[in-house]
Amino acid sequence: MTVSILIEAIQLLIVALGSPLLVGSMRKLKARLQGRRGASVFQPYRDLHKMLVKEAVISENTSWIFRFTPYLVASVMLLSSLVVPMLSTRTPMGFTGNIIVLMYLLLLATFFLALAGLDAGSAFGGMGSSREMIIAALAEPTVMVAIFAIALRVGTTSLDEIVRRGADDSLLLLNPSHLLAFVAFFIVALAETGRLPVDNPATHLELTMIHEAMILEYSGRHLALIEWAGGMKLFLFLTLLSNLFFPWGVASALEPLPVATAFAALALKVSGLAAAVAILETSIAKLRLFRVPELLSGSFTLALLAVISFFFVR
Amino acid sequence: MFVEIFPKLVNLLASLALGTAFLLIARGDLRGQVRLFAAQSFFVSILAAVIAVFARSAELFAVALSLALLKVFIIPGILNRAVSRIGLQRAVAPYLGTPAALFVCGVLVAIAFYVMAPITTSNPLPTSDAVPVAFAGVLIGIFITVIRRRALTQILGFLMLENGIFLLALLATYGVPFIVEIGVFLDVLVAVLIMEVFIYRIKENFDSIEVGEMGRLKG
Repeated sequence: MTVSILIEAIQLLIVALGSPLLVGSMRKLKARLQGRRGASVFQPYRDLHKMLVKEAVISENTSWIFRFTPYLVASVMLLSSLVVPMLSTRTPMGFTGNIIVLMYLLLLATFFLALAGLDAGSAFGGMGSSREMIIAALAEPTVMVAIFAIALRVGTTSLDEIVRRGADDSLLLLNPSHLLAFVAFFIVALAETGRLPVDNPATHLELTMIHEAMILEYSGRHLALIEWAGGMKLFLFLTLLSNLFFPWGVASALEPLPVATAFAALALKVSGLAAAVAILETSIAKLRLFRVPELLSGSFTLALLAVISFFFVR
Repeated sequence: MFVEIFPKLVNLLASLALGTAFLLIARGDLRGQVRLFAAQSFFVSILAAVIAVFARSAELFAVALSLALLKVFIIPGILNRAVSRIGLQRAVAPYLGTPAALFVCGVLVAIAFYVMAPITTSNPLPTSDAVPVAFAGVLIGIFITVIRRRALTQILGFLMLENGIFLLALLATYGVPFIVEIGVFLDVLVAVLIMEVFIYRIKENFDSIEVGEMGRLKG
């Protein structure tokens, strides 16, 4: 029992401490790909520290939602990191770790961010919130259908079970339904974490920003929490993608050696996916907001096909 | 080992070919569409080669090779020449928007699986599982020719339809005899050559390759 609690604590630390490093290395890789030198990979830690020691300015017109949201968003991400099977398929919080619960936990954070964006009453906040809600509403059906495609194959929505069964199936990658669900989920992950074809995390350009517009009113420790939570969300989505769709290396026993292997495998898979995202972000332009529904409906169709082909193709 | 992987590999390649047909609907520029057709033909010829190795048929392997030569290199080359001769085109909205078209395609795939289910169950070949996928390719090819406004995209829809029919024959019966296949390939090549000239004439006369324009009288 103590061992499994220890594993959970390690998972929590990996997400909490590793996410700024992930964000920093993606920025660094993008900078190198674009011919710039870029800031150090540890820059996000410095940014977080800087924001934590600065004063937080809060508008007089805001309600409790504005102050409550950063803490809620950060704690939702920390809670989710207990549920996602990261190192081992035997997480003690696994009994709550249903994939549907996880997705709606993440949506709870999005919901409160959108409310907080509206709360201060600024034009940009409201614009950001309405855009974020458009994207969330369009991504939602895809997430559910892609999850059904995976869950149907395994016969359960428990994350641990999905990863365990996947690791046993050596021909997993030859399964069209699996690949289609992966592509659909990847597109949705880009949309949900505000990455490039949908939202540009690097700009504050008023016409295009979505996530940045919502959190424009935040400063000091609140901004630090939200930025940190954003990094954790990206980390969680990449972990989910790598462990649900490439489930090799995840420890099935709680012993030191398999867990160490699982850690190495996780680092390898997440950095591979992060590099793929960075390369993708360098090679494509942001979509116009009105074309985002086309992209997301495309990914919805892929998810739908994944479910259809589960029923017909063996 | 190979016997075990073979049906899965066939399913995967057939699904990839179907996936390129989906992408053709989402893709707007003509050059990208031609490249997608070349990609689909590439997957189909790889599939034919895999089946040829499995069935130990030299004849089928020759079909796969000639398919790759014709549809991955020659026909896309001809179509690319047509694209350069047409020049830049004002983008026009299709009869049906992308999201709706993609959704209809999803439904078409479901219909294909429903219609082809009896054939899949009664066919003893290990490739029969992918037959509905090929049939879905045929349906989507027809659908593309119907909903797109530009003549070139309609040709690509027709060519994808032809790929689908080839795939259907390949998966259901391990392919028709070499001589028949070559005849079909030559027909397709001639059809594409004629259609290329046709597109060029349409462009000369109407200053656009949008088929909607052709309904209007020209003085």
